[in-house]
Amino acid sequence: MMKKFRIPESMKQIEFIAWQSLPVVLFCVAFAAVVTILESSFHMRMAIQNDSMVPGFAAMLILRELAVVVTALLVTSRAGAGMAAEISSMKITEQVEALKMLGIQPWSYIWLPRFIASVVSLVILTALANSFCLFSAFWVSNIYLGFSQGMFIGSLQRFIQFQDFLLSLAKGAVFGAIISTVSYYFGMNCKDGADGVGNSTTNSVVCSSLLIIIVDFALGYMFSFLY
Amino acid sequence: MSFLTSLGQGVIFLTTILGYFKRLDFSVNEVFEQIWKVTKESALMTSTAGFFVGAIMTIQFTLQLNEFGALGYLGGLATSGTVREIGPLLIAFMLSGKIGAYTSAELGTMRVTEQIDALKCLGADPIRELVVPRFLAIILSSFFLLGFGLVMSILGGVFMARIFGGISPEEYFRYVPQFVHLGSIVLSFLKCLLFAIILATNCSFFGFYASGGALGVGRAVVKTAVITMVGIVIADWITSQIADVILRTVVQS
Amino acid sequence: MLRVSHLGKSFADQTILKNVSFELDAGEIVFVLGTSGTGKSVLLKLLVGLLKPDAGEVYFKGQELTQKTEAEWNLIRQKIGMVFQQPALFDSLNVFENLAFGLRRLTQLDEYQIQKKVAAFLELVQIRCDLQSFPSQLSYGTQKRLSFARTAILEPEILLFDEPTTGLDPQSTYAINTLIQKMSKELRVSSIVVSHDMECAMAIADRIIFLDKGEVLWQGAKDQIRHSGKDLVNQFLMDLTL
Repeated sequence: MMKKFRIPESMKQIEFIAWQSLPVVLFCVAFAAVVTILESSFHMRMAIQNDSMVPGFAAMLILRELAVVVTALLVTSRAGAGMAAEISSMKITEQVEALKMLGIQPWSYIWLPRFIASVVSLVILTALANSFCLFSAFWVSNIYLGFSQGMFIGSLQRFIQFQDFLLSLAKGAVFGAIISTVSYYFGMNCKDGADGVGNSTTNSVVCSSLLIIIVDFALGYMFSFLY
Repeated sequence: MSFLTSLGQGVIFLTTILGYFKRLDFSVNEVFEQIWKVTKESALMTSTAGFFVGAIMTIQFTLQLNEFGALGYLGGLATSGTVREIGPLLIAFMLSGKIGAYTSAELGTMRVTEQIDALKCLGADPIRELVVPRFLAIILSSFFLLGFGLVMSILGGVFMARIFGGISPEEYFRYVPQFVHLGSIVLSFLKCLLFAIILATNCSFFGFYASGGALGVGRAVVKTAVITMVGIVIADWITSQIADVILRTVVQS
Repeated sequence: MLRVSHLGKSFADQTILKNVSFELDAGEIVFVLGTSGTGKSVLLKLLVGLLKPDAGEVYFKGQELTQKTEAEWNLIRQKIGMVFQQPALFDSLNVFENLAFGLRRLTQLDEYQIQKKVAAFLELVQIRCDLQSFPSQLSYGTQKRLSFARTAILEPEILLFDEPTTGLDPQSTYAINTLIQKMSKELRVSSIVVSHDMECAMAIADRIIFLDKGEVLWQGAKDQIRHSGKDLVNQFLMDLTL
């Protein structure tokens, strides 16, 4: 079992994907949280002249959409492109051919560890991003809008349920699957030369990003029926 | 290379390019050719992304507003939120992937295959011939593409409102003028412009100074995408923050 | 004609070149040999203004070059041409436009004269191909010869070559070597060729400079090389006879 799933390799990939992307993700997600609060506050005051619901509403947006999508897009640019570049380079230096000659399936050797790692990483990153994002949201609500801890949590409770958190993790897992598979596909179909690596990297980032947005829509639509 | 060193070099690079622009030292033809290339490559992706982003926002807003029985406000709120915030952010993310990666890969490949050195040796100024046209083209194109993406996101919103919330386009747009005022549109423009500048600077810079063969090109693409996204997020926050401060000052006075 | 005096260059804390001095006369072919990564490419880039040295001077017909501005270099690059290790042809331009590129920017020739020159130099490198075709459609050997033509067409006084025959089949190697000799004997063009190909050096060089760890280990006329007294040089010679 260890051998089939190449656990050590997967762990290395998790380190590459999750650990290296973590600072960037937390950084961006914190800013995004602040902006979400600012914007929600703006709209609430405009619509109902009352911003007591702002934290809850913002938290809902964060948990369901913002944190997971921003995280996934960031990971795509960083780790997705990196994976595609790495696999492309393996292809053009004929390492893939060498694997086949040794009777090893490229998909199990190259794709599977990265697939597992991406899914696991994205679940972890999403969980961390959600928490950090909510924390930043609280911080900004407290300092800027004058919400106390109690008010903040109260507002949250009206708007979000635990299943929001779980569903966002599920989204993260799906996005992880997408990123690794798209990077693998474009990496393996890379054309020769410096040109080829650039192209496959670009294409994998673009394709992953687009699929993430579309699948996010599809999942959001599906999940909406659970409410 | 340390972060501050890169940042400093990036700023110098940007100032150099703007110098050429001020002196009108570039080929207008070349700029148009680049605009066409960039738009052709990115239009489909931007409109698709925009459409789905609008749809996503509408779903979420519908679910919440339904609970409060305020579905009438859906069009106004969704449009405002998308135009001010989610639209520019996510679409700029997509563009940084497409245009950013494409340009940095192109310039990076030219650098590692010694074409940029060859240009210099044959009497051409690579910044004038390669970088400035692309830079200007990216700013103009992404500005246009972001706007176009926002329009698509509104369409996506209308479409989803009909299917998901049973709201007709009429009802959807009824409160839009109330929610979306001039300040929001100005904010949106500013964000789009700022994001475009960040994108153009980053992909030109990292592509032009790529090194290390084919893998170096890949690295340049990754750096471009990540740093552009981070830059966009920070710029997003700064503009929203300033807008909020202005609004509060105006309201209080 | 060209005098290099105590040239030095470092990147970060690594010294790539140190105290490099040599001279070049009109019509001479000088080979710069040495193991990979000894700064041979860097030396060429210093001579054509793509890099600025940290120490030393370069004199071309009495003019000191190292402090020249980019604009001043444009005048000099007509006289000192560089042929890169990679063909470096411009992907977005066809063969004709690639060859005409330097002529358009560094000379005042009109369209008709440019066409004649392009034809003449294609003949020189013995290429018969569609002028409208693009570099990506051509073989590596053809691209390399076109890259040679693109630089030579400016009729410089000095040509710098960065590993001109590396990665080429024997036929193309022979063609390039013959071309370098032709340029030097017929057009009195001086050439500096960076290479690790000892065979080529023994075939066409007039003088050889040996670099080791960024310094000049030995330099002299080709026939003197067996009496260099340096181990590295003898090792290179041994690989040759094998």
